Amino acid sequence: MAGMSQARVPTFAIVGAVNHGKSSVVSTLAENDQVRISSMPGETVACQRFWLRDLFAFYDTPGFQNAIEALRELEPAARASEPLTLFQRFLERHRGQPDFEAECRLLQPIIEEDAGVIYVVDGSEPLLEIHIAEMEILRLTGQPRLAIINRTKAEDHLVEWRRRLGLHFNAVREFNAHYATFSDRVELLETLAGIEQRWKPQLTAAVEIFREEWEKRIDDCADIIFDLLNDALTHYETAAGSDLSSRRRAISENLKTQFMHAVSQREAKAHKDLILLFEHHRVKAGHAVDQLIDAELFSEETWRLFGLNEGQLIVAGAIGGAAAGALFDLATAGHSIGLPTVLGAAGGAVGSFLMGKKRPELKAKLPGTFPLAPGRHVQLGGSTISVGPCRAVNFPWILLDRSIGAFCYLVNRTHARRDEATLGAPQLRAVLEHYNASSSHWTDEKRRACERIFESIRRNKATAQQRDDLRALLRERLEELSKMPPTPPA
Amino acid sequence: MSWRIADVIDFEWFLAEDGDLDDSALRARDRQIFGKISATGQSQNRKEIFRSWLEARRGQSSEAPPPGEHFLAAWQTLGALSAAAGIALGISVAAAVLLTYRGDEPVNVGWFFACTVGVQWLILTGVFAIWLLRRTTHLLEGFHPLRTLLSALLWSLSTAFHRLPGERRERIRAKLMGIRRRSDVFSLMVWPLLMITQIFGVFFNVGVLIALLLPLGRDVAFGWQSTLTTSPEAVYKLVSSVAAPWSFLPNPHPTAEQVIQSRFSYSEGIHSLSLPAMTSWWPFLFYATFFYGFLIRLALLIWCSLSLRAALGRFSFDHANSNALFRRLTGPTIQGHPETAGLQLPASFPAFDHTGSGSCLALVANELELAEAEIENGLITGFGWQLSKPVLSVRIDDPGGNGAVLERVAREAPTLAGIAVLIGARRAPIRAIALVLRKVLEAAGGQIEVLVLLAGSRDSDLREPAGSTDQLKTWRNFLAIHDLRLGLERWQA
Repeated sequence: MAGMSQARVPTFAIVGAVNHGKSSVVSTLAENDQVRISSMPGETVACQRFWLRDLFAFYDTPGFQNAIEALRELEPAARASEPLTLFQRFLERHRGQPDFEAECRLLQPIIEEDAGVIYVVDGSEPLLEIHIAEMEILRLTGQPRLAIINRTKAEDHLVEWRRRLGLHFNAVREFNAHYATFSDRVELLETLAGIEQRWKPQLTAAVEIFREEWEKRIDDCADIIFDLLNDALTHYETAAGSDLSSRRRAISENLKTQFMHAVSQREAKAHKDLILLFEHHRVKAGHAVDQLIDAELFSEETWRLFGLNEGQLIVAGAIGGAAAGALFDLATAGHSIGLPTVLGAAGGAVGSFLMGKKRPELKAKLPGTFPLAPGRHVQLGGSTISVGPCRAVNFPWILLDRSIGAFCYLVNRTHARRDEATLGAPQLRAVLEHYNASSSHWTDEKRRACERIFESIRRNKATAQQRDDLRALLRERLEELSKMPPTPPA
Repeated sequence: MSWRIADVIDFEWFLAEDGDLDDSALRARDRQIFGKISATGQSQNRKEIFRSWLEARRGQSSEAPPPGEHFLAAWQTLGALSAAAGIALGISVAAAVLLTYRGDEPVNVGWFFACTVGVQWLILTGVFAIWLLRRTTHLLEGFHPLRTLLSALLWSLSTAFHRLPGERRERIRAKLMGIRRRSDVFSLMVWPLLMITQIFGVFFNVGVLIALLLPLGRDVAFGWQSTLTTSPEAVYKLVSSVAAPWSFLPNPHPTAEQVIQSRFSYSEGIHSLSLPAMTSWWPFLFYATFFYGFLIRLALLIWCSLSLRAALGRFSFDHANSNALFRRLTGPTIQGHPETAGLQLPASFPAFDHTGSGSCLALVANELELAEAEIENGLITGFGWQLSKPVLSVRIDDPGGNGAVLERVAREAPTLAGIAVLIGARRAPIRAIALVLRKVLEAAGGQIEVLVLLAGSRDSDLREPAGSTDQLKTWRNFLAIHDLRLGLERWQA
């Protein structure tokens, strides 16, 4: 057998008994939710190669079908000077024959493409004689071998499996394909690097690149959320005004609808970008095109469930009001002796207290009129009607919570799952609660810093430094959440 | 009650439908049906019980009628169409020959005979020759044009299976294999199809006779001519021999003189021939078509019809699904209730003598831990089988590792009523298990019932009473795909 070329991508064949979760492991490792998985035995009937970026290749293989008989033919390999020749002959002899079709297919990448072996077992299934035959066949290949103990049910046969796997494999790891986090995956890849010396430099370098890519992905997520906040906090809708008051009311109502629709769509786009970044094809953003706008982001329910709690809202309102008052103080060069700042803080706090977690009514800015004579008037303050930006204190926090909820869901959802999901309010709320990820759990210091930046963004006065600070805060939070322990969601 | 082919189709259809239902619900339903059958005091004959069950199921079915009636309607329509097509083709073929008559030369009797009766005899002789060769020699063993076509179709379908999700793929494969497994039902179908061809043949001859009776047939002059050096005497002998079956009828064939006088050559035309001699061929042709065409095809049609009736009479209803149904219908029922102190069995409930009862060999997969007493009890209560001790442990996934077990199966099979193979329901059905089961079937010799019984797991604390419905479906598909003709039931311990 030719040694593994330095230029070649590390390749592993994921093998094991039928219905022990090989395809789930491939799906999770390769971050590919298009791998066919079924609870029915024998879903995989052909070898299929999946890539993890361009760093690793994994072969999803059919399960062993006739291991004990195959071992009878392959057993002499233990005493042969060229054991792999025996495997080659086995493949030549039985290729296309139904009795050993699965064995030929799963051994092919190992024997002919020098792939390493990842043997997947279901720790909730009892260890049988046929499994021992499978392990022995894999041992006889002489390839680097890692055993993964996956668990699909509550039953536990870990001890017997561990004891036996230890005899046949270079390393044994537990890995739940349905709840594995990024660090679990990295650790697994690092283990692979450790089982064969000649692959180590390549695998270590690949793991490093994989890690960097993950960091970059977290950065991208922070950017997506930052851009959403920036766009949503500064968004407004305008339309030409009218002399008729009834017409002005109709335009205002129309603008409010347009505003909510645009912000909802912007949020949906951000969620879709997050989904794309994690390559989850079975997850959809919560906003359908034809969905009623009130049903999601601007619903009473959303404003009650997401964002800061009442106490935090009062503080945030005070900060916002004080910031506005301070601007007035600055404008008067201190002649107002700080009174606007104090009054602004008090007003903001009282406003937040009165509003609580209710959804605020959007207000349209109408041009004023001054009557000159009966039937004649002059317009004051321009001729356009506008709605937005949304000044509600809780608004950015709601957007932030929902985006972080989406991030938490995506980062903790492995690609082995085959259920379809929609990132709607109940789903996002459940994830936030499960991981304690809501913004109400942030430290006061961070929350205040964020609130100041939000206020600056609302006024289009955020400095580059403030923007970078918000990005850094977001990144730090996402990084923290991505390292949460891999507990199954409720 | 006699069985019609529509009844067999419906019976198999209802059995297939039951395959997806919950086992306990099936038992309850069938016991109820059997209770009603017994109450009417009908015969305890297995076929008659099945017939009554079929009627009951038809009565219960609230959905669209089962496919038997559709089959009958389709068959009758096809029969009518083939009769119409036969008449049309008969008239057309006869007319095509008769209309060649232009008055300058007679219609060649040999040519008319070849086109109408001769073609049919040629086909019948060919079919008979193939059948004879296949029965007596190995020459045409591999000649199965219809089967080859079907295989090609199945192969092209199977190439598309890899793209389907596993569950659908296996279900479709199992259904296709199920078609093969129901070869006994499909062998019945041969007769209605043959009857259609004979109906066509009968009406083809009717068409030819009609054409001969029409003016275009009656006003035609017939003569004979041959490129072979044939003497009129030889032709007369041939004609009189052919006409032997209707020699008692008026003008059965031309006289020797008429044969001489109706011989023509294309260069001389019709002018030198005798008119009475030429018209004397018409009755001969009419009789020949009637006796060698119409009557022969009618006889074949009657033979097909009788053969179908005989095949229906012989149909045994002894495959695994019907055995399971019979057990569900007539097997013992034991019901328990936590609040009742004693078990009460209705005194009037009929006890049934199982024709399949007798001794049984139990092969238990080596990973299962079942006590012999438990197996003995389960077999007697569930199947009416006495356990032939000891229970044999079988290496269920080692096709080459059960020599001693298979030897005992082969030795005892002639004295057994059945063989029960107990397998853990949670085991993934793999090819190695299929190979072991095939070996068991071969050793059993095909004369006794072999049953796979799905048992719960060996972890007693987490043990399921028997395989789940999904597991049962998976295993049923597995057995069908591997063409393993054995029964599958849950192990009711």
